[in-house]
Amino acid sequence: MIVHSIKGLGLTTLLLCLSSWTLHAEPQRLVSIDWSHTETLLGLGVTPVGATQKAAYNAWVKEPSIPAESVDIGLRTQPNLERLAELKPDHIFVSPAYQYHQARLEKIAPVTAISIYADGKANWQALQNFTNTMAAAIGKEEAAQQLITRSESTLQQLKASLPSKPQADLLMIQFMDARHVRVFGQNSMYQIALNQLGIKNAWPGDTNAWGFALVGIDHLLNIKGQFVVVDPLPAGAKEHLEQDRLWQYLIKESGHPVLRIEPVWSFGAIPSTVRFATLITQAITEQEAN
Amino acid sequence: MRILPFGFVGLLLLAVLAVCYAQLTAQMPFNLALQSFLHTDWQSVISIKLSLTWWPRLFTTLICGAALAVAGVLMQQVLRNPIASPSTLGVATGASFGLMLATLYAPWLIEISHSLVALMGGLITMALVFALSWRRALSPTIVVITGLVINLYFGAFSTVLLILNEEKLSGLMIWGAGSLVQTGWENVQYLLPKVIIATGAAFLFLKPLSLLELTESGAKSLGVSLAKLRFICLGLAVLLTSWVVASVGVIGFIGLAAPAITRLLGVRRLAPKLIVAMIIGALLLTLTDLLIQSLPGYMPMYIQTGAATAALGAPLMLWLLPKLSMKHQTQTETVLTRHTPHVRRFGKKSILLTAAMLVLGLAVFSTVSLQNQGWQWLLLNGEWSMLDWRLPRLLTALLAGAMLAVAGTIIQRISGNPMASPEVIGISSGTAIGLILSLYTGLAAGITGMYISGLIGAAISMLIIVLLNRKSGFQPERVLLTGVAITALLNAIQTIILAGGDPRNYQFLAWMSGSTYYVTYQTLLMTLVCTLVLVSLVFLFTKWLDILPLGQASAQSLGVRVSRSRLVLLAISACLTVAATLVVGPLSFVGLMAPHLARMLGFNRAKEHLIAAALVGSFLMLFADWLGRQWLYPQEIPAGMVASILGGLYLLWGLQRL
Repeated sequence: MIVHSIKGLGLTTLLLCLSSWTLHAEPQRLVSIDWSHTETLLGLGVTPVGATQKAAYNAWVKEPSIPAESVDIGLRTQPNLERLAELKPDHIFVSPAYQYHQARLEKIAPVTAISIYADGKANWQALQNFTNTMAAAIGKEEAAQQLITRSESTLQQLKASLPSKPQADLLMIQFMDARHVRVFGQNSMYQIALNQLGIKNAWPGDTNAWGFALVGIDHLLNIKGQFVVVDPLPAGAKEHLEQDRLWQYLIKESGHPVLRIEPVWSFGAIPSTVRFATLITQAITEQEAN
Repeated sequence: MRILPFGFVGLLLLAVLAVCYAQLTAQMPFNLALQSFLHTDWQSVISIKLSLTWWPRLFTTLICGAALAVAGVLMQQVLRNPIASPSTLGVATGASFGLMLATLYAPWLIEISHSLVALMGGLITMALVFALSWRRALSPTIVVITGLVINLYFGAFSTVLLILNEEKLSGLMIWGAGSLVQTGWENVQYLLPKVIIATGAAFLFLKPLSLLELTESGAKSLGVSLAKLRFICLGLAVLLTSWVVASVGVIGFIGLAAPAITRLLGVRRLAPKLIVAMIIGALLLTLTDLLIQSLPGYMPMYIQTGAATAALGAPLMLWLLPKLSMKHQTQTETVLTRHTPHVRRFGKKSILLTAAMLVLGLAVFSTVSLQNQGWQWLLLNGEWSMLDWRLPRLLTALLAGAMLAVAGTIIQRISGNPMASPEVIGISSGTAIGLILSLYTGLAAGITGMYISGLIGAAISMLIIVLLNRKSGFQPERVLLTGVAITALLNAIQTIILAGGDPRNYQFLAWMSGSTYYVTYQTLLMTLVCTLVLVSLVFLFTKWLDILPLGQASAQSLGVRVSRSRLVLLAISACLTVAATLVVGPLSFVGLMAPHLARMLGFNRAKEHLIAAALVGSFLMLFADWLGRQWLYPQEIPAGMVASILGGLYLLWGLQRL
């Protein structure tokens, strides 16, 4: 009896190995529904067969950009199920925030529901866990380890390349309109990047689960730090801000020039974090050179 | 007699001054704080903060409040409708729609002038309302209804844009919630001269405007050109509103509340009414804003002043409704009477034709669709598994369309109001409010929870409608106005939620906009049962539906207990609405459109009217669902939105002929 069950177990294991081997033999067909999944897959060197809102992704996340062969499957909130089914994916990644999808997505392929933000515990470790979990679901553990090691060494190089003189605390904002900003603090991707670079965030206040606080720019008075403005500026905001006395005063008071950073996905995973770290290091170095 | 208004204004003023004093002294000594108003001490951060943000904000709110109040008084006076206000007439919606379009497709316009775009949006919208109601000499009822329809229509379009471009438009959401944060004196400089001039102009028209309080014919006989007077005064009101909206965003209900309070205080004559309303509007908005600024932490960012006044204003409006002495306005002539003569030719044949269209539509729409390789026909490519995804959606849309159409037919017949429908009287909005509250408080998880909370919301709004209208025997205008108030509350809640910028919001938005996306065979089954039970219930009451449109007196003489039969029918249509709203969202003009179309096809008797409307409604939703999935493939536009966009066009056309 025991022998029999051991035999059965052995057979199952063998079958499992075989199936995963065959799975790996041909490229896996993966679909990523949240942008943090898309960038992570691309970071792992896997091109998803289907991804959401490609045009918007390429404008807001930018890099790593989605290759042309990935099919656009529509909105993140409502991926096109017919198209998804037609793609016959092997695995689907989805954010748990979109819980209503899950049951039906499971009819198409196995689903991994995972996200970095929303529970208010985003840090470098959480990013690694996120990447590892995704990799484990598709048998790419090695690639994940490589991505993490590579990213960590990049971050260390960036940290080492920062000017030796002490860096001012940074205040990372993204303009929503000419008078309101998102300030990024605890739980944010920007905070994780700053931690890795050894730079302090000047924002002392609370943030929501996505790592930002929405405030009027009058809330930025009294905060000592260099401004980092994450692009894009909303239409018309540039013209307004040039005239805005409060904003001009804030810049003057900060004692530093404003660092403008091209668009980075504020709710991204490891690739976005490294990208922001690279951009901010560049900006700081350039400013130092001037 | 004068004591009451003076006392109230004095009290309000005291409250504002007290909060101001408290806020100023919390920052720095009072005399220094006052000095910061006149000149900025660039050495002191607090002085800068006060002089660049606090003081401008105070004056901006005062001006905006006053301007909106004047606009409100003018609109109410001209339209002789105590519920008319800048927010009910679509100006704000038009302005925000204009900004959205410009943000997405012509950012250079916004770079030239943000306010100009908003202003143009508001003006164009109002011009549209005017144009559509011109033929009826800007009749009050028609203007209000047109405003409402345009509000809903642009609302639907905005939602589609928002769903498709969430990142780009998130900043506009803050503006839409009416945040009064200031960073200098530009807004005061922009608004003050304009508001003074427009208000001055309003005072020039006091005399002819007062005459409007008499009956229309009375005013006419005194030599007042009604259309011209209405045009000028409404134009002034629109300008005032647009300026405010352009500079600080959408601020709801001050324009409604200030005149209403003034009236309740017993101020009757127009001149004092205008002045008192202006002061009350200014103080009321300022007090609200000051209190919101005093909220702890980030709450002021999440509950913005504009949305807060709107949320407070809706209950106020509901409370005011029973107090209004509504002179029985000449009812909107119904399409009902219009089409009677030339209809006999149709009949059975056209019912068969519509039914055949429906079957054909189902067959075509379920097999022809865009797929990965472009247009495909299932008969040719044989991918029948696709039906598994399509059929539940198409069938549910079809059923929802039928239910809404039946509900709409009932409501239009019993109210004798061709513009009434479940979307318009607020049942749909009530359902949505129930859903939102449950979603964000976490009380109801999963689909069943959503159904239950939606039902509770609908039941409460039904209860409100019934309680507020029972005395007046469900007089059409009142029922409609109750709906406007409930919808306004929904809008306020939605605005507050969206302004927070929580990425999860878009899930909610997608759902709210009425998509069949979440439909499964289970929901299909539930919808089917609801449709069968409720629709067959309606057919038991076709006799009432035949008699009620004849008018209260005739119905009573024929032995129908009018109030009770109206109540029963309203209750059924509420249930129908809930079942449909859960699938296609609170906005789709099917309930309004299908009964109209059915009548145009020539079905006047209740039973035929119901059947034809249901068939037309089904076909419309079926088509809307299919089109929504092809239009921007692979992105999906919710069926409810497509129906609104198509239906809105039809309505605007219909209104103009009304």
